Amino acid sequence: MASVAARRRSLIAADNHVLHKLHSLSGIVPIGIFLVQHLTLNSFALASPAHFNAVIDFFNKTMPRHLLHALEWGLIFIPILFHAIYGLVITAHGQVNVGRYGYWRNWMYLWQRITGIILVVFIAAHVWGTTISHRLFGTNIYYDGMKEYFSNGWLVAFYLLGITSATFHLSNGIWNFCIRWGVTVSERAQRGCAKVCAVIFVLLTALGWSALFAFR
Amino acid sequence: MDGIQSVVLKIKRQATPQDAPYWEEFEVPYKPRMNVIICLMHIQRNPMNRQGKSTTAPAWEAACLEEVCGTCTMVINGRVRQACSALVDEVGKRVNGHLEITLEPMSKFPVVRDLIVDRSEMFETLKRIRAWVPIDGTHDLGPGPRIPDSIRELRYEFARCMTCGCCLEACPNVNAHSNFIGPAAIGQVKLFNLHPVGATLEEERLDVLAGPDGLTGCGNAQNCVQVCPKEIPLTRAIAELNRDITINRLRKWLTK
Repeated sequence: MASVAARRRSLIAADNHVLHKLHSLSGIVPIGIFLVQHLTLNSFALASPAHFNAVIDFFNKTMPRHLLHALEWGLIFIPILFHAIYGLVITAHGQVNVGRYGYWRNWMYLWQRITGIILVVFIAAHVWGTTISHRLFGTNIYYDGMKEYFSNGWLVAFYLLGITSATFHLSNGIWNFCIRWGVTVSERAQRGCAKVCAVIFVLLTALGWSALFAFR
Repeated sequence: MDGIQSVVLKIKRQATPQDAPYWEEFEVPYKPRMNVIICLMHIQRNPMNRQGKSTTAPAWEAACLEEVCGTCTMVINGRVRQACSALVDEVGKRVNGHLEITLEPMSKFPVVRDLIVDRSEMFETLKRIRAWVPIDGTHDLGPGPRIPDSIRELRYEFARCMTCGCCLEACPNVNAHSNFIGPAAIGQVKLFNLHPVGATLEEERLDVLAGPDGLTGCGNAQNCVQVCPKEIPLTRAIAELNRDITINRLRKWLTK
């Protein structure tokens, strides 16, 4: 705890009540919804390469350019950038004390931050390797191109880590969101919410992993 | 306890707030059902460390000796709690025929000397959140309003807070890099907001909690409820006030 004088001096972004609430909200809407949509559309590859290619064609050819860019920036890039930067600031203001206080929720607190940091690296690499490479260098992001991309076992391992981090971060984030917005108040409600979030984690991870293995 | 002859206390000491801390070991004879305070009183009577060298008695504080004042709060074997209710049989680690206990001052407050810390920051916080029921005036206001039993019961739970500092010590978000006022004050906001007369200051309290050192600092690690010796529903207060603040903010934004 900083002294009162130090407190006045260090009023930085992590203390902003509205920004913090928006950080919590942005993790669910739009980022959480985007994640579910993204994993679902990728899982079309389980049906057939043609199904997956139809999804790519929808965004690449059917959807008007300006609308695609507006959705990308408004609902994906800017919210994720804000969530990532603000999340790192929050993380920097915390402390790891699971060694002394190894309670379940304290571990979840730590994992939320660890997966967040993994996700900053993973999402940057992922967007660079797919969307940006495609637009800059014309890299093939249709089914056959992605199959070649995932022929590297290390990359698949990196993606498994990234997908699991994302599904964990969202599931545990829903639990956090419900407290930060005052939805789950009693201990019983919070425990029940944790169970629902655990089910969401298992289902989303299964969806993400199976979508990935459609390319192997 | 079987075969236990003595209790070895490893105490983190510090002569003044400016001095560097150091560790000193003491050995006291074991007695059944003794607590940490009894060990400290034994050392105080004849301050001699484990090497047999005469030393200054470690400084510590205690008042009630029944876990209601919070004065003797310290970190015992790595976990924050009151020394008076820490039974040696329960907290001691069995090592070669003796029980071992480490004592440290709380790390989230400035050390005054040895195991004594300055918790005045917590009292300053109570003033900032207006932790009182405003009844002072120039004339008799008459009897207070009746409080429903369910509210009275909940208020009693929050009223047990003794400002000991356990929740702040265990909170990962209360530290030198953060401004978070900690869980104790949040419980007290709920206590006074739940009182029909105390509620006249509700908005001012919510404004403090919506401020830079308020509820925003909570990271939901929930260590506070785990370590609170009085089992105060702190996480309930946090969630409920998160809602109260949001509603209050929206109302202010839309109506003022």
